[in-house]
Amino acid sequence: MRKTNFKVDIIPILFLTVVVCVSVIALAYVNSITYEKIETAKLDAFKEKLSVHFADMTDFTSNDANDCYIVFTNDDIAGYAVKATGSGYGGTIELLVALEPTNLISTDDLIIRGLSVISHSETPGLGDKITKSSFQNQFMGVAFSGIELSKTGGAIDAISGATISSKGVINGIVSSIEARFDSLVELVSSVEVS
Amino acid sequence: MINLLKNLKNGLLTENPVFVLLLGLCPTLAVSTSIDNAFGMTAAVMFVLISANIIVSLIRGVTPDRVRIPVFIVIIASLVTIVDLSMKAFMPDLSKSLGIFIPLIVVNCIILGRAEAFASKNTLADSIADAFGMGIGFGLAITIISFFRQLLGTGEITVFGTHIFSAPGLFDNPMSVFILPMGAFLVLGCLLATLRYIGVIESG
Repeated sequence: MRKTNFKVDIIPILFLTVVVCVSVIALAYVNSITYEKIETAKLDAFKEKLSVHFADMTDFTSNDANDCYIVFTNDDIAGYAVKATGSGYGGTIELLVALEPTNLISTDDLIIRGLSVISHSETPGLGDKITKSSFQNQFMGVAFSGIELSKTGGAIDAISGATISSKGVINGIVSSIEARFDSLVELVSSVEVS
Repeated sequence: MINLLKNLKNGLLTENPVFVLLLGLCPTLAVSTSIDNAFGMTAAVMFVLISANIIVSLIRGVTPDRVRIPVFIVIIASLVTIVDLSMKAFMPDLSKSLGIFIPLIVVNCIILGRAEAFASKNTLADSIADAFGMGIGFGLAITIISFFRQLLGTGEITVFGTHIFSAPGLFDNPMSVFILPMGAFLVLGCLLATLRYIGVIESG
């Protein structure tokens, strides 16, 4: 075995360590100045998503899991919103479903007020039409039971060439609302008590 | 000065990273679905390319040969993360539409390729000129490709929300295949063949 040579063996390690340290410091600095802006941008983007459906929104509140929302106009409840996730052709589709301020006895009472896509990775030009208003407007005013493809008796026409994406949205809405209905009811009752 | 111009032209035509060197094809093929994406990608790549070339050229005298590739990668990855964070903070819309392809600039071989093949052996001024040339060359290529893909795949050209024109007939029945990944290969292949045939770039 040859002897350890400082120049050949140690210097490269030290040099790489220094480079990594410098870049870590640089990144920490950039992160510290952008972190708050990124968080506000996210919150603003979310508020904007909500206000698309609730034009007079003045405030909103969410539950701890951050998947159910109540939207207020001044002190009145203007409606609800639920985060939904479905699996599309290219991966998970994250949705925001706005609901009319109906009684919350069972899911049958729910009426969809609007739909927006928070994130998706569907094929550009085909599946990403789920972000277009021509697709999303179909959901407006539809009762929860009508959220199904029109070929199986529902109210929603699938996007041609993107049936899996369309189904992903529909299944996501149905399963997520069913799963989160109880938390929505809980959130609403907690607001009404206080 | 002549040298600088030569480096610029080199990146734009003689050694255009996409059309001649065939480097960085992953982002070129993946985000060339719209002209907006092409511009955003070009801006991000330009920033990383120029900064990486500057830093690599500055430390070229002291970088030990054995660890030069890891060092370059660390530098490039840090720069890309800076771009990613800044874009998320100041241009959230653009950052959303480019998605995963900003972080993927780390593995864009144009940047590592230029750091290794050029900046690590040349002076600061030459390296900056090379980065500019390569960056503009990349931008030109990805813009041309996305122009054809957007035109054929959607039938209309819109840039940053401004509608430029719609192709009659094509708008109602767009050839969606050009928006799909396969369309990127078709467009790139046809472009390469045409450019070589008319002699804009020399065939190797």
